[in-house]
Amino acid sequence: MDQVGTPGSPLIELRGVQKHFGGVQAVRNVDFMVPAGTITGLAGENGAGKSTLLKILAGLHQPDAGEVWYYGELQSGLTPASAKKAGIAYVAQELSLFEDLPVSENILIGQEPMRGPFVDRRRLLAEAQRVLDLVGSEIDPDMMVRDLAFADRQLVEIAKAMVGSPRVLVLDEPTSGLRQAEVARLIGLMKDLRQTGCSVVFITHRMGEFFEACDRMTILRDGTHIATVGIDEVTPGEVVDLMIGRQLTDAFPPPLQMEPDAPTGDALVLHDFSVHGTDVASVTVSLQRGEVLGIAGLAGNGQTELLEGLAGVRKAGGGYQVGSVAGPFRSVRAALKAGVALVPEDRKRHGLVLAMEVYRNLTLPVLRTLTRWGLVDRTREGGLVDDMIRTLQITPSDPRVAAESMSGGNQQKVVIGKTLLTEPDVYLLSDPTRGIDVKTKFEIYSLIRRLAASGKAVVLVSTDLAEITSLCSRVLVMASGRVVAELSGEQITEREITRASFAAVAA
Amino acid sequence: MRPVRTYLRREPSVPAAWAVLLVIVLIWLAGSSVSVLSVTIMIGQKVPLVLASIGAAIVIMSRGIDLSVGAVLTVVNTIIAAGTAAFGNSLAWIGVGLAVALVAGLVNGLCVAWLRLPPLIVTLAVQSILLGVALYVLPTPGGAVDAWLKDLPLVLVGPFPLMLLIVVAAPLLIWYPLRRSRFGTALLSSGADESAAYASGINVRRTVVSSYVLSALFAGLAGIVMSMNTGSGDPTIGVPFTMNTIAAAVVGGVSLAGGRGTIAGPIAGALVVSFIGNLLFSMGVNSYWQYVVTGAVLIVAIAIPAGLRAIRAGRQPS
Amino acid sequence: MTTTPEPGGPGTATAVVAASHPRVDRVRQLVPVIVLVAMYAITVAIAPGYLEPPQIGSLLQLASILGIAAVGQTLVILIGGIDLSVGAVATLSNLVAAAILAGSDASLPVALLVVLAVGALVGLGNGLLIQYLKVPDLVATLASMTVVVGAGLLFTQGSPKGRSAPLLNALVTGRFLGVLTGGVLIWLAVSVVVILFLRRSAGGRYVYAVGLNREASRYAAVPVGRTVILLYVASGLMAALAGFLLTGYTGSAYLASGDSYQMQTIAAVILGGTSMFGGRGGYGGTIIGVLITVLLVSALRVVGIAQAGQDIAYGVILLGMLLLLTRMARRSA
Repeated sequence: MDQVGTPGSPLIELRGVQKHFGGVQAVRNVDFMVPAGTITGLAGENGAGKSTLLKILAGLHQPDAGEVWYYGELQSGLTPASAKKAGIAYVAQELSLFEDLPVSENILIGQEPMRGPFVDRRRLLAEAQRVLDLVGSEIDPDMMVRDLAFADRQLVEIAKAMVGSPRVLVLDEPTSGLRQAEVARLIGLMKDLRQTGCSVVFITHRMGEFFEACDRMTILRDGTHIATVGIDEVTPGEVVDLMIGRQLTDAFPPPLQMEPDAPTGDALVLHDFSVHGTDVASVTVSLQRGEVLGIAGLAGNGQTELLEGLAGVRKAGGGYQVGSVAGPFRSVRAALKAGVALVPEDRKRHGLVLAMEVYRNLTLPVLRTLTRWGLVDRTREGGLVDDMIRTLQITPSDPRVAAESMSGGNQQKVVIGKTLLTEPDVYLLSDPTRGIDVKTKFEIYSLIRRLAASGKAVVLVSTDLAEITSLCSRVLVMASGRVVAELSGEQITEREITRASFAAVAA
Repeated sequence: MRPVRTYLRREPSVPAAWAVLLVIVLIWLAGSSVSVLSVTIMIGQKVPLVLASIGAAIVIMSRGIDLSVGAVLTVVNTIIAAGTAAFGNSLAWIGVGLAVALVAGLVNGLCVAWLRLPPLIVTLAVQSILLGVALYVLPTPGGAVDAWLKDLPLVLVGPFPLMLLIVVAAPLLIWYPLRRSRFGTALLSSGADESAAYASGINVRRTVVSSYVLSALFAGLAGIVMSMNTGSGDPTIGVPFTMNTIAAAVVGGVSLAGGRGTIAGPIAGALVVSFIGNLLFSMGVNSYWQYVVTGAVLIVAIAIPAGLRAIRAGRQPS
Repeated sequence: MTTTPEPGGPGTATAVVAASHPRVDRVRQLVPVIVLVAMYAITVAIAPGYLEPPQIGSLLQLASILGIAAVGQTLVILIGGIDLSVGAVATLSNLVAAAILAGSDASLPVALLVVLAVGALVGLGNGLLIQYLKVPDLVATLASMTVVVGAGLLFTQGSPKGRSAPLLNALVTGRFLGVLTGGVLIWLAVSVVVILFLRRSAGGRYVYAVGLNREASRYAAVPVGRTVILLYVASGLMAALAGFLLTGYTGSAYLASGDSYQMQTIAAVILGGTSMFGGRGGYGGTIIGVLITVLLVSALRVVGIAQAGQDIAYGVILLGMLLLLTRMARRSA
């Protein structure tokens, strides 16, 4: 076996790792290597499996199959703690600092230097200061995390990883909140580490950072390893192409003819629309009946929040007209009344009451219309429920089954069925096919086509570019809560959308 | 100077609580006649609530709640009184009482941390059990207390009442080292985010169990001091304590969501709450108003920051 | 995507509702019945007199008042909350009713209205604090309990006055069919309404939905805020009604007369199988829980263990029941 730390021999190696969650295969048979003294960039679209791969590497996930090797030794029973001890420092995308503890205690939590039974404050502060200096932060280690801005918190997380002098630094989107100067400093730190024979693996969505910092890049797509190249062997455009590739498996139903008596005109008009408590602002667009409008962009840039603001889940402001009714809506009920309905992104937490039966979930929003003298008319309800189950081919077909015992695809059908029963004019779909089997996906696509043909308006938020390009007649690309690009017709290609998403983030 | 400045910056609610206390005390002083003896006794009367509030605050910081605080106090108080009356030797009965308190704390802690039962119901049930025990041990107020114990509240150390020193020393002797040990960090992090704390290597279970044991211990100490003050036992004495300790903690800046708080704050909060009675009396107001005012104070102490937060957030109320 | 796996994660129980399982629900419904039957058997073994209709009638009479007070607690716990002010409101209601009635039948309607208004007001206060000021239900109802206790003391200045009206006494304690008292019939009527509400009405569906998943209910256009507030109002109303009936039962007013209902209603709800986390259970279970509680009290009294034993027994049984139901739910998840 290769010697530990010998230049050129891998510090970490993943062989044939696989991981699935529920019905979704996140990582398929990936080989991944981290040679000593290198900086490796990990690129890919949303859902390509990058984060999952790194979590497997750092012991947070157990792979279903495959091997993890550290320094030429096969690891078994890997845990975050043992990975840390082996010198693998992992910084997650989501920050997990304790707001009401000072920076110093956060950095050294669980490994505070002691003097007898007490924490040695002096050494605590000194060590915290040392790692803060390493990452180039000027934060006072006595400050409470609560008082820190997001960018500073990110630096604290990275500093935390530097405690104990790691051999491999694994960073999942470490620069998302950082400014230019801080990014440059961080890249400098990475290069310093490289000098000493250590390695860095990091994920970012900024192409520029890849090309400035990395020696090599690995590109993933759909959980599969596509390519590993030296940074001087490839151009940014080629990287984008590798990331996107071609989706061979999904088929899409063709657009349908508009029905002759379908209504036309504006379904929804927004002017300078914003959603309170988020960075969604200045959204101006008008949605036509019969149209399928796509909203793309990197995940977490306000797409979900926009839909929630439209649907009355969040407070919103600005010009918002739905037919003759003026929004914004103060409650979901008000929005439903105006004909706007949302299929939420998180079907388990927001879309369904999992512990409740299917029939109860289906009729929950429309119960008011099913009551006679205050009591629910079970016959009418039963009729509606059976119809919907049949129409959407929900399995199992027993309406008394609890939603949580169903597959993801069927759960999503229940959520959609619930929305259909409210008979809206505008359908807001937030990532409706995530984590769903191919057959159900096709059924949902067909449904979208039918809805559009009958004069309804559909807004589709998705990170699946194939979906967006196949179904939508117009696409808005969002970044940091704003619409940064509007594409129509010929412009709607995966390449264009990706370009627009990345361009917006390069700040 | 730096540590003090940092401390104040960290917990603005603590100086606020002490400021409120100062105001209340001044108003009260203006309307009352004082003597060294009366002040000494008065401070002694406030010590039980102060001690109990410290324990309650520790549990709240771990994102829990301890409704059995008043009952632990009562049980210890009645055990000392009944035991001394029947067999003498208060010291031994103090030991018994503390042992019972420890067991109660362990039961609470294990049920919450290991069995993952809701703290509300667990401590409510334990409260009921303990009150029953207290009632059994001492069916009607009475009993006795050894002379040396009864006279402790009157002891002066130099010009200061011993009790005052206890109130001041409590944070320094007990909390300060706790906070400075790993337990302090473990407590606050477990209360803030259990899974993140666990991921950082904190033994959350042990921390939570310890917090309930400490709470019971402090409540037990409060019961001992109560015996000193009254020289007897009363099976109903602890009933208002539960509510008051929570009010004290909240006024002192401890967050009910866990993860943040100090001890100096709840001490001030406890003094504020207990001074309400004195204040009303000196103003000539019917003492029954005490209940209403304390309840209102608790509500206001929570509602204000919560309301401010709700206004600031853009999200609709759920 | 999920992150760190938690091998036997530690710490306090949160409001995550355990997965439902037909077996668990059946357990939840069956165990209270078994406990009730066992309880009855034990009671009869200790005191054979409890097989006789008159004794059963007395038990039911006691149960009826507790049962009415427990209506509110059931509703509130179903939605994932708790109401610690139930006892205090019942007491205040008792004090005010006796004072207003002053032994005269003519004041009956006024007394009832005032008492119900006070209860509704306290409930409204609780609801608003909890829903809009985001005060945790524990603290809000604890605080309102204290305020209500204080109000009662202020109102009576420590010595309760007044007497119940003869009509009320007759209504509550008068026997029909030799066994059932008026109080029991009232309880029956209330029970029917509550069970109908929870099982068949839209509002009842909202209660369960909110108790199981508040956020999802909001996304589904359920009027969450309104539901929560109305349930706390109902709890205050029912506690007040219980206190009113208590006046008719005891004939006058006593300080802290209704205070024991705080613990007893919670015990009854839990013994009846309703989940502390909300969304599971119902009033039918509470009825059984009430009967178990009342039997327990009577049995202890017969054996000669007074208040002390009752308190200890409550606590132990509560813990035991909680343990049993929570562990079973978790194990089959």
